[in-house]
Amino acid sequence: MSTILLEKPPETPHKPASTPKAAIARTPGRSSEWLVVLTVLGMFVLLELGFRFAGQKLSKDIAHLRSFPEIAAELAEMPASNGTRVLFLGNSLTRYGVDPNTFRDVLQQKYGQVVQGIKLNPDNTALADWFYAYRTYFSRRGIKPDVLIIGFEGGHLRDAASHHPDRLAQYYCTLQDCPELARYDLQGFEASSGFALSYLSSAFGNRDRIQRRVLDQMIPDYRAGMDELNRRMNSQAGVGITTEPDYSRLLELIAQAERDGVQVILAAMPVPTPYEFDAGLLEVVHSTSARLVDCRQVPGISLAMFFDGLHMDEQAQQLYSQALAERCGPVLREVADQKRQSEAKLTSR
Amino acid sequence: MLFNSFAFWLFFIVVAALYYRLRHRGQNVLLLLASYYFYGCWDWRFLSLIAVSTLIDYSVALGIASSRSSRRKRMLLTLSLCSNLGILAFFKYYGFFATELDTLLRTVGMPAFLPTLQIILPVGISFYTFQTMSYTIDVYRGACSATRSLLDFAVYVSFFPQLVAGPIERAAHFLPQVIQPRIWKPEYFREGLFLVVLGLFKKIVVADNMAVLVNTIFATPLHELTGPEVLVGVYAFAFQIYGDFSGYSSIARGVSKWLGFDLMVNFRMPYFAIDPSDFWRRWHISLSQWLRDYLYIPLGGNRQGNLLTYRNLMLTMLLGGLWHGANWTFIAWGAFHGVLLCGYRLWATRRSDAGSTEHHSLLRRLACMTLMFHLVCMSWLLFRAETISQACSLLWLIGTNFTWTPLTSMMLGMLVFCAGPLLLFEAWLEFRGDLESLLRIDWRWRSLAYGYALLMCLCFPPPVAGTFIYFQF
Repeated sequence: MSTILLEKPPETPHKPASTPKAAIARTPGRSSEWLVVLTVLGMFVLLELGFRFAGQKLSKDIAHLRSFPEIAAELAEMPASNGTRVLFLGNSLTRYGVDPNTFRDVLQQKYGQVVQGIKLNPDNTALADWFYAYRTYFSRRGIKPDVLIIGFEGGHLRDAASHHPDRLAQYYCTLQDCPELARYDLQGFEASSGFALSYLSSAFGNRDRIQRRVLDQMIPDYRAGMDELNRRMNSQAGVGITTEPDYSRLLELIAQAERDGVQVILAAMPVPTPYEFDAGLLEVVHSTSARLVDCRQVPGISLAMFFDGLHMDEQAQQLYSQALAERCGPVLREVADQKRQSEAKLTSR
Repeated sequence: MLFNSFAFWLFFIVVAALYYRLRHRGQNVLLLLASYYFYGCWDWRFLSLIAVSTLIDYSVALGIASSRSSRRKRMLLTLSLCSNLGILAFFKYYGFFATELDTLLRTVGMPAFLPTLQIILPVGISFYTFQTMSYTIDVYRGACSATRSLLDFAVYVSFFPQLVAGPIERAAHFLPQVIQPRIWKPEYFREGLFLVVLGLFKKIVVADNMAVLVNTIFATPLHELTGPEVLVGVYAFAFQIYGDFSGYSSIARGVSKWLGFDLMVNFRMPYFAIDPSDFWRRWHISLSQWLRDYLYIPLGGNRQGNLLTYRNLMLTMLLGGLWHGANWTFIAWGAFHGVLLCGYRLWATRRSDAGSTEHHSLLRRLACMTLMFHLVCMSWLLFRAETISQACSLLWLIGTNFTWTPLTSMMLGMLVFCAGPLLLFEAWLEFRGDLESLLRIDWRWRSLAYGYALLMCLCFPPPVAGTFIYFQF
């Protein structure tokens, strides 16, 4: 609109779109552009190699995700005769909240039961991820714990697509999971393409790690600001949502566990914001063999013990692990009795 | 199908692979089919609108070219304008004006009983309508000749890289490229690559990351906001809309280069403008030139004295604002820019009368850029707000509440992290006065720049990939 007003050329004249004479002389040939493309591809290959060989150094969570096969193998190596084998499945709430040693000691002292526990607790996950983790690393490999304790809060068990389809591709899923992925997690071509790329590329599948690490270092108040941003976004998104949650994936997981002879315990964990069990979840518990253990309120755990506003500190961890053991004790005894009976039957045959 | 989606790039690879196996006519048939498919992916029902618009302007232009009677030519032109503007008015403005008229009549106690329709806005309707209209007007003016090939004209109207968000191409520039066989030039690959990489960076790293911040700020209840949060939110929106729209234009130009077409430049570092007039030489150039040639100059331009020039400026900018959508905020945005242009013209005329020479020191240029950037930001506040009253409240908050929060620090950090490198790059382009400076430096530096841009796209995508803002216009 320059000519509207003054009808004069700009102050700093831009060179015309055509190439200036001096530039023509220095204009690189076609081959140099292919060198550019090759160099950029080289950078991507380097990034990929870096991730494949040293990704676990970037984040503890990647190291944990990559150790899933070893955790499963450790569980498989636990002798059945040494007591009930317990797999704790959850996210960072379980990582910070559950101490398997305390859990074991309390059961031993109070109920005379011998248990062996192991934890699988990738960060920022929910049932969508736990479902595949259990199937891929335990059920399909024939590695079956006696008890599966799923630690949750609020809506962790509801049907929802995974927050991290890229991680599903990298760490949790195989091609056998395609039907479930298409049904629950990958809606449309874009999601499927992203999943395929994450399946092939470690750098693509873990790119959010770089993002978080860099932004944490470079941007002041990044975590606090993002928490506030998320809070506001969630409060806006939450307005008007009234539909009843579904639990079909939880039902599938429980059915799989039942087929595997694994007792599922749904452990409701304490968090600073109180939450209720909805009718759908109670119906799942009512209609299946899964047990609901309510540890939302644990005597002694106060708000101050959630060190970052969500996760339990060491003192709260001890109190929760004791409470969990006490409340799971009767179920674990039943499982141990059943195990003994079936072993006795097998011996008598 | 967004430019920043896997689907688009798969689509483009297929189209390009077929395209280079075909002769000229086959290429045009392929482009038309691909363009209609591309548009149909948004909403196939509105393909009929493009087809109708194409047929009308094709026939009208041929009628104008073959007619010797100026009266008949005028009639045909009026037919084209009425049908194009009629379609645009119905789909874009009917709901707004019906509601406003109803409100007005109710306030004076006269219920209007106007039918309220839930009309879906066809994507990119303003862009292709303006493009077809410019063709007919140019044929009427004798600025370009009417094409006899419906296929070529249909490709001109619906060419997929620029169909839904421009640049708004003129027939005199673009139609010959459709009609003539394309001659592949080696530099097209280089230039296309540069434009695509730059466009993806602007869209994914700058615009989409800013969108998350902006959407949250503008949706937060007023009582939860602080002044610095709003201020940084407005800055973020300035870079969101720039990254989004210029990113789209850049990718459109790059993809077109790879198909052998040269689209016009739509943005030239607009935030380095030193005055309102300079800003409109740099921002959405294809629209500002369209408004200049088909609205401002026909209204009389600056040839009829000061008062009428100001009137013409205000009318042009008000309609420019309305072009963006049926909302009072867009009209206010246009009015604000109209006032800026009029004010600047008045000031410049007085300075010129006083014999003052225009010599800008670096410091003064920087001060002018900063002032202009903030004036533009103020206009973006009007543009982005849901209502005028929200815009006023947010402006009040900026001036009265100075509470610094962790969210402000984080947003400012994100702004500097995402948009800072782009701003530095553009400062370098501005200094060199050449939009394609990066193509004239050693290939190793270019590799580093592309590597940085693409790694940023890979590692710093937004939480949710956003659609392009200007599709709605």
